[in-house]
Amino acid sequence: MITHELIHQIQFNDDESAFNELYKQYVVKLYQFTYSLLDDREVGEEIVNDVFLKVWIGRKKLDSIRNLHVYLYVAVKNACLNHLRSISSKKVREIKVTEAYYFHLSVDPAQLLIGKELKKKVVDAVNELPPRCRLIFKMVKDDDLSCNEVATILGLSNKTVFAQLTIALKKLDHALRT
Amino acid sequence: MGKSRFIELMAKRVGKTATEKELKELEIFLDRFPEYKKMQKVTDALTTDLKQQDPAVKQKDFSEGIEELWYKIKNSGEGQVVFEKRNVRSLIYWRVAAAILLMLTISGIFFYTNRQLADNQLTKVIIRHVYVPYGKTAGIILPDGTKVKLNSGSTFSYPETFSKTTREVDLEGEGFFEVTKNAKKPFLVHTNTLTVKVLGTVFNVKAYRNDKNIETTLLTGRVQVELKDKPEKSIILLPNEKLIVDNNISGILNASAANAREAKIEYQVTALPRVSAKGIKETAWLYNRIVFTNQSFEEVAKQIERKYNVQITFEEQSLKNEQISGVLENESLEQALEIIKMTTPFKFRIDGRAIYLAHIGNAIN
Repeated sequence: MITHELIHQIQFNDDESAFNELYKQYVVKLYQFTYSLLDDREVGEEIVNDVFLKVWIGRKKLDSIRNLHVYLYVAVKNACLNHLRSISSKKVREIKVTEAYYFHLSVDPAQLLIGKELKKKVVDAVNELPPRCRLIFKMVKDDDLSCNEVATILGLSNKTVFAQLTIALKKLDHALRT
Repeated sequence: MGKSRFIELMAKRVGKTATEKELKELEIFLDRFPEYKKMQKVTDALTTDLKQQDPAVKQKDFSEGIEELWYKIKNSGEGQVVFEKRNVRSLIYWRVAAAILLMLTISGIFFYTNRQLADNQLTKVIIRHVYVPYGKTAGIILPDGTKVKLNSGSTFSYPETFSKTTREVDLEGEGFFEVTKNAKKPFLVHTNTLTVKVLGTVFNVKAYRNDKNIETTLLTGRVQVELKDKPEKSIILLPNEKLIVDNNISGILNASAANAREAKIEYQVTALPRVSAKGIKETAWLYNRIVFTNQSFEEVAKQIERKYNVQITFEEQSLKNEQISGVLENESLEQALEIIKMTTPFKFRIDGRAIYLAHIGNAIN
């Protein structure tokens, strides 16, 4: 089932299995997203679950969320910021991407068309990108988000996101050539 | 077209902002310069490597996460919790509010926090106190994300920021805990007679000062209970086990296993108990408050005596048994008595530190 059908099932039929399906679609991506913002895996998982708890409780108004995709990421991000604020007395204004619990990019072996050595070069190049750049690259590549959606989620301008994406691709291109 | 244009088009494609025209342009470019195809293929093949992730993440499969989530949903009651901050209420207001709350069967919250600065050797730790009156419950989230539901007549203290090594809280009354997992920082709940130590779990502690027994019920995870007077003896509880400890002697009476349903009912059954004044008056006066719900005038009088340093004498025994409810906070003694008079007619005479109470119509000696 695609997302908007799931949303419909959840909203109008209180369909628990549709909710489980929705959860399954997003949970790992959102977990990874929290790992890149928080230095704490357990808290991240708790935050993701709380966001879904709110989705279920507010399911009767689920169709008022224009883009659930973006909504989930933004809700998770805000909860992460609140958490950071609660553990440090400093005001947290913007997200700081951490290195801890970070995802690693790899070349899908099924599509391996390059030698082992070259593959390592590519992977290293991507994994050595600055954290924020890598997060943006990962979000557009893996989480199926558009540049504009990533910009909304992270509170950056479209231009910035696009520029970061370009940097990632340049690095990749460079790694393939040397 | 140069390389930078290629990168730009690739970025647009990956970022899903490319127009039809731009996609076409990229296609034509790749046809003309096949050596760039490799770059495109590699980009497409890049994916998050799950193998390199923390093994704990992999182990935690969806089913566990979703199970926890449904547990939370069912426990949330899906109801809205309303927080209210109040200080002084008259007797009438209290009664009206209680009636409304009862009718709605939604527990409103009388949330009382008190900031207190405690010198902790070098650093100042801000301790937050939460006090929940009878007939109400309160839900709070601690700095580490741990959720605590407090039952009527409970007093709960926690530091605004936890120390680096432990998370310690104090409880008198009944609390339902959902502790955020953190193996590095054990979570300790101190009560009068025992300490419950956990790493991350869901459990219920019932430790009213005036109750005969102290009960610890574990729903998920694992807890370790230490008795204050026998620190060498610690009891480990497994899910759905309940530990009952005698409040006075701290002897273990029973540790019985029940099924999940029973354990849950255990909590629900005890969710809104009628607790006598004794449980709360000791702590309430610390906050300069007297709270009483349907208590005998005699019991309330004892609290008033303590707060105002007076001696109360009942001229008639029957007056002692009048049931009254209310909250007294910053009132003067006379104001306090006038407030009680609003619902329970009586007359009083103040003679220095001595107060005489009598039914209206009867003479005060």
